[in-house]
Amino acid sequence: MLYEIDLGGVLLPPLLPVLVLALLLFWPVNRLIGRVDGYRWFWHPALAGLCVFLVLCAVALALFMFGSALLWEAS
Amino acid sequence: MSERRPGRWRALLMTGALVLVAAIAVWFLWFHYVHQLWTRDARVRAAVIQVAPDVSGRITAMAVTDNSRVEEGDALFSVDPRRYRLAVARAEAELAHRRQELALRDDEAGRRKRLGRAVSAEERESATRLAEVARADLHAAEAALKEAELDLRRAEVTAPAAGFVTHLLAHAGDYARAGEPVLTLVDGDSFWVEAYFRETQVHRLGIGDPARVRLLGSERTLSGRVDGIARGIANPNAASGTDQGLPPVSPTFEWVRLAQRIPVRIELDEVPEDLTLVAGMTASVSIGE
Repeated sequence: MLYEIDLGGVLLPPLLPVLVLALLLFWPVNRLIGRVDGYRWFWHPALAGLCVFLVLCAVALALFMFGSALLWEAS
Repeated sequence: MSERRPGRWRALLMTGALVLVAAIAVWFLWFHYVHQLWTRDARVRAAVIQVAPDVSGRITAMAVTDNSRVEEGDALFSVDPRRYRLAVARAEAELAHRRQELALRDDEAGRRKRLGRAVSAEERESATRLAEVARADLHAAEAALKEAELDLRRAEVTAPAAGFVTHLLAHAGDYARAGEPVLTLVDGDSFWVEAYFRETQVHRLGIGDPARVRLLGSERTLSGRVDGIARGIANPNAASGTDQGLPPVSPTFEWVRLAQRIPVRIELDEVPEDLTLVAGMTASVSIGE
């Protein structure tokens, strides 16, 4: 499940840690694709980068929900 | 190898495939974040009982401390009973009086009846009626005694439910008035969660749907189910008692409007013993498995 995040008393929507996680994932992935020159396979490199970022956002959200499901099993 | 450029059509095809995957990812994000029935806007609630004494008087003893746990029937505080003991004594005396009075009237009526024609029929009848009046007075005195005894018992205020004493401001020596709350009792078995869902989500909610509740800052997830959906919220445009009895319709933006929130009651399946639930706590609620 999705739930509100408490960061030092400041209440954050769960989308915020998901976006931060997606950025953290995107950084090495983007570097890797750049190193093997993977973007040359695509029409617009920037469009391909955006698509990769969106996919990573979905992955991050899935990770968040998977983590909360694990906590649910534990409790 | 890196010098080889792929063909134009091949690049377009690859990009299209990636955009398709990204669209699926966006759909996943939208479905789970926006469409999914969950809310950050939920509050823990409980039955809050305001305990007031049934009789007035000085508080002689406060048996509980603030935030202490009490069981149903436990003594909370006592009101000075002396006045009510005196009232019982007076009611007992009144009862004895009425009893003697009835005996007197009964004897009188019996005597008149035995005398037969020596006394007038009117006198006989009046004696019988007076005996009946005395009997009614006796019943009234019995009821008055019971009431005085009830008042005396009520001078000892007990907990109407098991729960927690909250916001205790009265102390021994304070004067308690009948019907005026002295302390607040939070019913320990009555905790529920009020989740405020957007009005656009309520149509997809059903009574009995499983729910998960996560208290702010707690690692634990509680399970519950939808117990009911509120069937009314206040309409600010329908306020009455304003200028010339006309409704004050608030102006709204044409483009951006905020969905109102509807309270949905979530009944918790089980509350762990070591979990501190406080009425008013913030929670997140998610509906569905």
